[in-house]
Amino acid sequence: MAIPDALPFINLAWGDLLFLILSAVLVGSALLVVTLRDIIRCGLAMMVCFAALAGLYVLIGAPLVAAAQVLVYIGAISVLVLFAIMLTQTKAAPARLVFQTQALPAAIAAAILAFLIALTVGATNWNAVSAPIRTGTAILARVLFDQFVLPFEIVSVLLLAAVIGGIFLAKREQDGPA
Amino acid sequence: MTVVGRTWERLTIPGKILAVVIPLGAVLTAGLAILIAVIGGAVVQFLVDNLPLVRFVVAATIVLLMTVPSAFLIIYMEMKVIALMNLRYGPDRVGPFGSALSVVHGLKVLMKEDFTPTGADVPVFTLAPVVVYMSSVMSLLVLPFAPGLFGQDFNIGLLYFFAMGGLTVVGLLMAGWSSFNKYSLLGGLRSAAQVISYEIPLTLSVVGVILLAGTMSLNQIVLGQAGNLFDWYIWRQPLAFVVFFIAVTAEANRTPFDLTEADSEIVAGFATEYSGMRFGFFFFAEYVNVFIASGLTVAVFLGGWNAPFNWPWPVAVGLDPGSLGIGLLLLLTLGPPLAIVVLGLPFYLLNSRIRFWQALIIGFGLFNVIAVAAVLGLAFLSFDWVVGLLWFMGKTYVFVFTFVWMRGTLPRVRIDQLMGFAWKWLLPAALLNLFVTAFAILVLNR
Amino acid sequence: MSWADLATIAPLAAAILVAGLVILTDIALPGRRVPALAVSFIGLAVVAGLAIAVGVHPATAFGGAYRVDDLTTYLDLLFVAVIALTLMFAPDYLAARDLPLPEFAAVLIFALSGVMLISASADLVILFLGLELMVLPGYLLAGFAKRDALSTEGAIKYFLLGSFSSAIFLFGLAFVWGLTGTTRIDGVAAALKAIAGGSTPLSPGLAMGLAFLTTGVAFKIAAVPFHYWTPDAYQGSPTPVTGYLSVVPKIGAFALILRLFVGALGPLSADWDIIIVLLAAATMTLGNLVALTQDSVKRMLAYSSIAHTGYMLIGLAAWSSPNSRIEGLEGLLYYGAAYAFMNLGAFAVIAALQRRTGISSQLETFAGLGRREPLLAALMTLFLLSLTGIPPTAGFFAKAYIILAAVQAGGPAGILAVIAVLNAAVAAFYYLRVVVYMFMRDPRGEPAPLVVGRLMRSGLIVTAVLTVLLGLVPGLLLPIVGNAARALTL
Repeated sequence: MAIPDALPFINLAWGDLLFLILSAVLVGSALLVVTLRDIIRCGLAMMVCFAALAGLYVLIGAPLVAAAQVLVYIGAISVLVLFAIMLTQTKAAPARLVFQTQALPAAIAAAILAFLIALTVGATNWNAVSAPIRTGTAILARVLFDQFVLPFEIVSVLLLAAVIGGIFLAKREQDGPA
Repeated sequence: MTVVGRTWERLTIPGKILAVVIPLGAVLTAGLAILIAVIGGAVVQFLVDNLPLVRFVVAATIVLLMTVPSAFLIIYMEMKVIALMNLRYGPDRVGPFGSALSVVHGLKVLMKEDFTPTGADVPVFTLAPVVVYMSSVMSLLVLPFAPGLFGQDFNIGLLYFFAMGGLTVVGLLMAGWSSFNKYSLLGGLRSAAQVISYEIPLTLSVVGVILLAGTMSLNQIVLGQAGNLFDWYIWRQPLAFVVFFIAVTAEANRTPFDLTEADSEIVAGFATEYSGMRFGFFFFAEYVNVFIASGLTVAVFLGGWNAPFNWPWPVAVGLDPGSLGIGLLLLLTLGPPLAIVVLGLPFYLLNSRIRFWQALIIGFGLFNVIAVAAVLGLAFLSFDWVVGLLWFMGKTYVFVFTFVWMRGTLPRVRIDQLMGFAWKWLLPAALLNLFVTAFAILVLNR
Repeated sequence: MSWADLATIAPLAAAILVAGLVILTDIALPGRRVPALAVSFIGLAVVAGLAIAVGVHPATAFGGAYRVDDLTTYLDLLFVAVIALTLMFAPDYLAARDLPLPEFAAVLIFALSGVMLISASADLVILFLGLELMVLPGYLLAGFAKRDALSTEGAIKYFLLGSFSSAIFLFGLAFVWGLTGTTRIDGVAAALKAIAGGSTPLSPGLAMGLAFLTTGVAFKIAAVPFHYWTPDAYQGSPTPVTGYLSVVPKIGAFALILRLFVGALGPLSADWDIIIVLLAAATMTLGNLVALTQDSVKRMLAYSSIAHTGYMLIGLAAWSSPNSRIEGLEGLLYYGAAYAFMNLGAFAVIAALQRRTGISSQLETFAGLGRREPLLAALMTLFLLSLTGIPPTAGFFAKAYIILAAVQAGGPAGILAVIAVLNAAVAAFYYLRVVVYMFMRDPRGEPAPLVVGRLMRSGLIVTAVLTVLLGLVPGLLLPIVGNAARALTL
């Protein structure tokens, strides 16, 4: 007796159930990011959001992307964001977010957009999309370094430009404070 | 008073306990036997049908459980080895040579008050140790201990490993922030800066190995090093090994890179405000990380569970216990008493001061040692994972010892030296290694 | 990747190398301005030479992801010229404020590589990356005066809204990719032709994607109602940077529109042209009306650049009508070149006035300039007349050409022509107000005399000559523009 392919009674496949759970976590944590008032907690909720997204990537058969998501977005980018926030906190600055004055219009706009997108997704015949493709690392590497080698190199140029800019902005002048 | 009552009165306290326990045990055993007979087949069938799932759950459980004893072992090792290096005795009270001290430490930590400072961000404060501990345990899941003995063999094992290892810093940052203490915050910030800086050379240094092995699966990487000592990747990637080992030391926040909890500068860093079992989780995670760092080094560069020379295993033991028939029963029932007497007799005969029952005790001890050795030897010869596990653990503990040794001897570096070293030396070295490896593969065409 | 591919991307690679070389020069000779500047100019000359050499033979590289045609060459040369002029205008201004030149030059040339990538891209991924590479240096340049709070504020607004619009744009690209299953521009066009072939209404997914793409691009070109980051970003930035920001990212985004809307989404033009018409009308009108009320010349020129976005959009609207496909594109491309030089020149005059720190760009600053600095005042007048669209300047011919194209197109684009003419009349008021201040008002107090550097002076003269030439002898540029427009339509 193997575990059935679908959830008993409501006939929901396990993958779909996982998808529902992960999406719920994703949307919930994304909402927390914009509604929480403590900016550090916002950042932590963002990490949860990224983790749920990584789970979704695994679910559609892209574990490499998922691992990269965790490694880069949670392990590096979010940490650096939190790092910067913690480092620049001063006693003068408000510890809690105070500029959520347009929450209501934003919420209405977001709800309308969500409704439109839901309508769109439901009404469109996504003919180009078929069953999820299992992307192996080797295949991905071949595509990346053959078909998409120019974008790959351009991304490195983009990062170089960003690094130069970042260093310039963060650099302290030789004499006197920045 | 009835007969039963009077008999009860006469029993000693152990007797009373036994009188209750034995019938209860008998009933329970019988019930269990019936239960197994009735639904055992179905349960076994269920487990067999869902083998991958069962395998995963079992592996996760074992990995989770093995962290505790290995952390105990490493903590004891650290206390004892550093003590010996300092010409002290070290732990010597609890257990033989103080070996149970870390267990007692664990119990002590468990019983302490679990204290939350005023002003702390309570949910974050509570979750931080969990995140740190879980990230260690989850990265342990892909470490190959022996042939066929690993939690899960991912295609992207190495990447997964680094991804999970990178989560530790999230926990440290959470701990540092939520403690509402500037030393904690400093420790958290230091760990974030340090771990992110060293993660880059760490990841880049293994890319050379990935190129050589053609895979990111840790199991496949170990398999690619089969053969003898000279098939290990350390010989083809010496620079990567050096970079990797330094970076992995920093990732595990070990001396000389233990700035996150530098006790002489910032009390205990992120762990300052923690007490009780929450501190225990940090403490355990740190030593589990030492084990993981050592194990990863061994798996990637030192052949994992491969023996350094061609080992003549597995030897097939051509003995089928079933063929002995009734003889097996006789051997099992009569063998041990006979062996105990035979082993004990020489002591009784050769030394007049030893009485016969004392000789029997010696014989019993000897028999057990021989029997355990025989069973282990048989297992060693029959199953390749046993010998693999022994090699892996042996190599790993050499590195664990190295970590302890470094803690005993090296001074702590300064934060600017730490960052400068990562970006100015390790990163270029890792890039150089990657470039040379790729170039060599291109030229030699493998 | 083959040697032929590398040869095809040679101008782009050269631009990236030049940017790196400028940084290396600064590392080798720290704090020196002349070597970095020399490397930049020589490098730009090399890039221009390579662009011409490669552009002679249209080619594709990287399996069709990168395409060099006449449009690419035209845009590349235009951008090289604009970047070189910006580099001529900037040193005096930066030196007076103790801002480093090498970083400025390097980042500017990185942006050049971004626009070159856009103008040659035949793949949606490359298109997006080019866009990012173009705008990312802009964020830095807007905040280049990092001790100036106004500059930082402008930069942060620009950065936040820019990133936001990039995300929207990328979302739109994802929709298009999801529905067509390819990222190659000709593949997308072919797939869309198949979809739009019948007279079926637009599918909701495609409509959504189109909406996101339009919004994202409208942010980048600062079309109303997606313009509100523009005045703050332009006013806060150092003046030479404002000149750059008002030209390169804007025309770069128009190049993106040409590649994306004309190249890839062309089959859907019946669905998006009305949006473009509305955007164009709103942008022209609002830009001009708000510019009327501004006291700061920089801010006024910011709103005027919004208005000019509207004029350029007319060209796109004219393209979508079958009567005037080539003419609409020609008008747009010609207007791009004319706008680039006249707007850059106007900002350069302000930058020259602000050679010493502490000089604002208020109208008062221009009072009596005609007597104090006849040359600067004359040049400013020329640029402003050109911006107004008075013959014999580049602005006049460009505006005339684009309005004629719109009239030829008829329909909604024809109405745009009327609106454009009315707007030009309104715009004359605020442009000429500056001229009035320069020649008919007396300065308050006695401002210190100005010294205009040699590099700045020659840059101004080049710009002025180009502005006049494009107006007097449009035949010089028209064949090139025509080839570029035809390259896109083929």
